[in-house]
Amino acid sequence: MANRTLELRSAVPELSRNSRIGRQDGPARLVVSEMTGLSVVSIAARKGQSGSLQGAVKKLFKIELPNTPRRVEAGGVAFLWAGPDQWIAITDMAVHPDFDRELVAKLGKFASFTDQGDARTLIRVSGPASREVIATGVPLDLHPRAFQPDDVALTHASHIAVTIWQIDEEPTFVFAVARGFARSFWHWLSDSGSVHGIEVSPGT
Amino acid sequence: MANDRFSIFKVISEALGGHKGWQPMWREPEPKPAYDVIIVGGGGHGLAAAYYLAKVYGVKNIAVVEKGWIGSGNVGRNTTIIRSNYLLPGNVPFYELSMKLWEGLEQDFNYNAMISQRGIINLFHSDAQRDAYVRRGNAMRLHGVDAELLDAAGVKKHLPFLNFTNNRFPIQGGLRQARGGTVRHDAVAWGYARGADAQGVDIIQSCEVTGIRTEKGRAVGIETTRGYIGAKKIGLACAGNSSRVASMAGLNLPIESHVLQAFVSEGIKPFIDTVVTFGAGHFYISQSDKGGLVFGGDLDGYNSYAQRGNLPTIEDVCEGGMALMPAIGRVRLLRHWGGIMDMSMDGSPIIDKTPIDGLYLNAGWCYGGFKATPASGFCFAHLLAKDEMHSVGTAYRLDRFATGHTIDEKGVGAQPNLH
Amino acid sequence: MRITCPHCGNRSLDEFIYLGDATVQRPDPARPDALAAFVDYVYQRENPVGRHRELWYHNAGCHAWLVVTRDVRTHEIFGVEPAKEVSLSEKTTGAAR
Ligand SMILES: Cc1cc2nc3c(=O)[nH]c(=O)nc-3n(C[C@H](O)[C@H](O)[C@H](O)COP(=O)(O)OP(=O)(O)OC[C@H]3O[C@@H](n4cnc5c(N)ncnc54)[C@H](O)[C@@H]3O)c2cc1C
Ligand SMILES: [Zn+2]
Repeated sequence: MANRTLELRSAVPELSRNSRIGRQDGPARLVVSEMTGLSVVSIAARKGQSGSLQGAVKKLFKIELPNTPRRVEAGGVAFLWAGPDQWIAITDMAVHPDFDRELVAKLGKFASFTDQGDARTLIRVSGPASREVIATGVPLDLHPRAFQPDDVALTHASHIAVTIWQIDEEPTFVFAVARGFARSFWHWLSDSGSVHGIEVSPGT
Repeated sequence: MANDRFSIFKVISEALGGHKGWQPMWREPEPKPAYDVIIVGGGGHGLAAAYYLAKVYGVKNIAVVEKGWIGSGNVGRNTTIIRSNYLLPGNVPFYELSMKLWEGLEQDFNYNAMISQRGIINLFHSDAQRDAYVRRGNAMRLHGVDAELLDAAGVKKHLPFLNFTNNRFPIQGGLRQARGGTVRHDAVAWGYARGADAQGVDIIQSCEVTGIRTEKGRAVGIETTRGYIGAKKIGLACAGNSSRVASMAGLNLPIESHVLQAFVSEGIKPFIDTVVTFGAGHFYISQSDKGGLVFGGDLDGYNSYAQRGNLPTIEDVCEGGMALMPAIGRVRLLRHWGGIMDMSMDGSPIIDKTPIDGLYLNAGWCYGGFKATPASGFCFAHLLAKDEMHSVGTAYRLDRFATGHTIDEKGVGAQPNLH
Repeated sequence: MRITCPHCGNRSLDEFIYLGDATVQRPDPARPDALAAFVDYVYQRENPVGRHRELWYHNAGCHAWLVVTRDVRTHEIFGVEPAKEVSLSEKTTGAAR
């Protein structure tokens, strides 16, 4: 029998190649790329163990797990609040190839860890039109007064459940979308953004 | 009585005489100290009950007490759809009686209610939905109600402009009831009010019931903003306010009040000549004679006594409309409003006596009570006159929740916002 | 109408799903009048016109159940509490609110 290996494939093929979508004149006002090569692990504290988990994480990663919708990062690992006593950890797959098992070994007493690497698609959106485009489907106030770098929100985009966070003031936003819905998400984003001209650059 | 009969001769003579001879449609009497029957709530159901009580059951001394004005409640707020395409045995004969009464109503009460049997088509978009509609159609035909199953081509003949290439919600066909249609809703209230008034019924507007007086477990009268009025029998037909009024007699009902919104667009040329409902979302639409598209969708979904709703439902309704008929995308919305629905726990109505002697209940119409107006009034009149339920409405008992005889057309259980 | 989730902040209504009256209490099935009590619990509602305590679920958010106190005439919201805390405090005080 032939040797079969599993090939990593994007849920949104349109995001795997350079392209310019929609309005063609002038610089693209929306820049989109898929973030690949990341380990994504969801964390849910066991009943009554949230405090111990937070203590242990602080020791290991020199970081305070946020108890509000925020993102924190240290030593190449980011933790995002994902609901009461829940978080998402994201890091470089090349450095932490089995991140979920690594976390289970170190913190398994206090929480459950589930690899989400193949379950979520991470899409980065930036450019001067990003707030305007996102506002067509996300019922959140993304004005700098209300949403800033490292703010996180669990919400929906055009009826699709997403986690959204901001990483810089440019502004750059990241969406985590369930893989099965990623293409519908892209359908909405490309449709809403095309009037501004979209530049797609392949995964980073 | 204030009014005379409408006829072609009357219209011509008034036209020639400068329209100076028209009389008010009904009197504005002061409440008498007591009545044989008082009906609380001057919506379609209360007025129809008074009309049939006087006309068919010969009861003479009747008042309808209304806190606002005639037509201010749901009877003047609905999307005007009538149909009798129900599935369950408890419902089919009742709604078919209603349809038969609609068919003769304008002659019966001598008023133009613009009853239009333009047909209704319920679309289906999957095999399972098709099976459900086949079953419904068969149930209707077994009860002698007209039903016709259309395939996609059959739907296209009636509604060529629907989106037949929508891959997500392909239109596979529809269940059509040709006798379904629309009725000018406030004309129904006016016609029944005028007809009841002509039979001697006192229609008392701007008179809010604030209490129900009982003596030894028997209801004997109502407290109102215009004073106490005695009654041998009291019938409640208060739609969205049923729980409030029933609580004045210490009753707790299996009902939650929810808001439903309706929408009208600017007038456009004749476009939709039937009623059509989207099966993959909640959206129904018809076109009024003035040209406006009249449409609606789901309840907002939370308890409400506010006659206005919120934006997410508006978005949802418009998305349903765009998925079904993108051609309406550039038509502008003219008005939208809300009405308070008496959502019962199984989605079906209650017409019954209450545990209090002399107090009768007509409630739980959810968002489908307009089509029921004639039969509801007829059965409530029968109950008030004879102290027993009319044969087509025996399933609508108040105690059915305790005895396990709920009538759940949608099969969603005791969750009113899902019915 | 917007709901301020104690976990997520002020959010749009379309992120939430409504269940209903939060004051109904599941009766003890061992009670002698359990049948009647269950009929009340499942079907009978006070359906008040002013303040209403009700259960909402933050479906497109943190997935928490919330107890919202709201005026059903004006949609004014007086308070939002995590249902978990409400239920825990009821268990410890033995009091149904
Ligand atoms: C937006 C919308 C769309 C709808 N679409 C449809 C449809 O397409 N087809 C269909 O079949 N049904 C539809 N319905 C449902 C239908 O309109 C109602 O079920 C029906 O009208 C209720 O009966 P009614 O006419 O007697 O109610 P109402 O007209 O509401 O009458 C009840 C009356 O009781 C009065 N009242 C309340 N409390 C007191 C008090 N304390 N004292 C005195 N008077 C009091 C109220 O002022 C009111 O006038 C719709 C409803 C709405 C709101
Ligand atoms: Zn939340």
